[in-house]
Amino acid sequence: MTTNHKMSGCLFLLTLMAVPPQAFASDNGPSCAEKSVVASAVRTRDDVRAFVQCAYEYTIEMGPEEARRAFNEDERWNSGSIYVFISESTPESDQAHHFVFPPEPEREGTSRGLLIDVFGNDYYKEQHRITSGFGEGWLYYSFTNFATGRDEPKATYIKSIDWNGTPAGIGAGIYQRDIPGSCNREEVNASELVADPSNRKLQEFVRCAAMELETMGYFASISLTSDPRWRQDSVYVFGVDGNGNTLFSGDPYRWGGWTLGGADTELTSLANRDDLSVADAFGETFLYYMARNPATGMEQRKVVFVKRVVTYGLPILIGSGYYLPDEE
Amino acid sequence: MNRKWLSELLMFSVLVVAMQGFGAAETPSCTDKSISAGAIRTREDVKAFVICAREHLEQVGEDSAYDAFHNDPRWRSGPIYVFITELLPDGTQARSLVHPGRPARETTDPAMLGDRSDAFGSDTIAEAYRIITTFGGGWWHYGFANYETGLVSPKASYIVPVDWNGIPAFLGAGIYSRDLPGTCRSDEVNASVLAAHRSEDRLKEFVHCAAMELESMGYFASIGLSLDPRWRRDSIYVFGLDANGNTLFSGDPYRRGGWTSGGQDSELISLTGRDNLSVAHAFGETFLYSMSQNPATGMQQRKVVFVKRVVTYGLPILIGSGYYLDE
Repeated sequence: MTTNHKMSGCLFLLTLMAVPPQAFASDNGPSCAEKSVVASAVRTRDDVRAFVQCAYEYTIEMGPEEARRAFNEDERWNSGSIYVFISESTPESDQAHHFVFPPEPEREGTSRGLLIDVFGNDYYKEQHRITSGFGEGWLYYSFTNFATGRDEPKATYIKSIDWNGTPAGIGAGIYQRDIPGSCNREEVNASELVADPSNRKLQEFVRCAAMELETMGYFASISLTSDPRWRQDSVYVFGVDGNGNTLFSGDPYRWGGWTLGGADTELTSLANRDDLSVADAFGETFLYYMARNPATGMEQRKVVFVKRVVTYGLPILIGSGYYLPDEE
Repeated sequence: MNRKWLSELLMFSVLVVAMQGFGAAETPSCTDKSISAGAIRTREDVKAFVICAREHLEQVGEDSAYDAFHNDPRWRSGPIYVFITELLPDGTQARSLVHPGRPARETTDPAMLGDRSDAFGSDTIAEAYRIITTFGGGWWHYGFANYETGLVSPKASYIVPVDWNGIPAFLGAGIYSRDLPGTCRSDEVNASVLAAHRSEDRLKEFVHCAAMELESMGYFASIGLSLDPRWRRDSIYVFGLDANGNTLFSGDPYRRGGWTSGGQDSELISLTGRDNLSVAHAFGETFLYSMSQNPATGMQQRKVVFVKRVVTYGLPILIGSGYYLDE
């Protein structure tokens, strides 16, 4: 590449502009050497931030050309709904250009025009505000999830970067199914958990059930025990009070109903350990025990996730679980 | 070695291999997710760290791993370290094989370690044994001394089975979180600490703990959250907004406070005209960035805010706090 002195000077100035003054001087996240995660392993917002930091370092080290190739082609950077994008940061939000956009590479080098989401956010205006004023940070908006084809809430971490002399933002985002704005019935339900049991799906299932309970209190217990969304085959939801009494349960073998209570609760059956206090102290816990599978009537190994919520002043442990196949 | 010992070893070897299958599909390998001790912030990080530690042990062997786990900052930082304990159902018998947090525990006489029961009422080693032998590993919750603070605190550790010089054992690492229902100590999480050590992690802890007060006490929490020095110090304060953006309470002397009075000039409405109220409600937990009047200086300054949505007595409330970047 040949550049004259004037061009070099401009580039240097732009580079300085892309490096924010005292961005988060007191709170730099880990470097890629300290924490690295590939696209397919991104599970949490913390993972997203680490992923973006690695993408940023890769771009600085390898240069824009190789970065654009890798972000489009390599699985390390592009898997399902997780990918790296780079967009121009400009106060003219309707003219910001895509530099890297793996879901639709044909858009690279073009402007999408004004991008206003369902929250009324002007995306590029917000990106410019964060990258120019704060250097890096979180953006929350709604955007097409290319894995589902739907417009969904997306939490993106964005970082200021120089792209061939143009101020830009490099970012990646995550669509979560267990936040208040998602928790869709057709995505998070007992049937999904039965069909594909995993700790991740179990956690989503319980978190969404917990939101119902927090919002509706007593009235939630009826649907949480009987609605097919929350009860299918061996999967069901239960709620236990601070003394271990079952307040509600979709398990046909146990007591149900808010006012009945029952000593034979999920958590007191655990290996003589005070798991009630454990679940109460840790807020969210994975627990493991043997329990009777209501679908088979057999004692089987069960993985349970319990979340502590406070509904109308009353602390409640709400949980669910899935059974592991018998050991050979 | 007698025949019984050999058969136990054989059984354990089968367990180590077989149990790597449980949850393996959803657990990234160390190639996919790698983290050093100093970067651990969450339980997910701990799990990735443990998977990496086990892979490291398998690659380099016991002697080299022992040295690395004790001395390499990649494996040891503050209260984060790798431990390996003999897999036995009795805490008085199980040897602590690797314990960089307190190497003196690596004694050949486990009885020296005393009672290994915790505040949750049972032998913690027996609980780990149960999780390993029945489930092949997983989350182990217990109370243990945090060597950084000197306090016995709730510790969430991820544990997996390993073979240590022919001894069936389990390898793990754990995290002490300061914003759990069982922690949130006023001497650890407060406005003074946040003012002195401004970071996103500290801010999140601060708001999480304030949210727990609000969830438990409802209206009555607003008085303490607005006035108590735990929640208000210099430029640090807590605020709460209703679904319409009205300020329900605030420790900011420039804003209206009081649960019933409300106020239109809320924290989130002042942010650049975007609908941050809906954003904060939809995402549950959000970091927001704004220019705001610093009550300690009276100047407009850059502010990092963390907001959490809680539902207290059926009412959705956004509770938040923040720190200024240019102080």
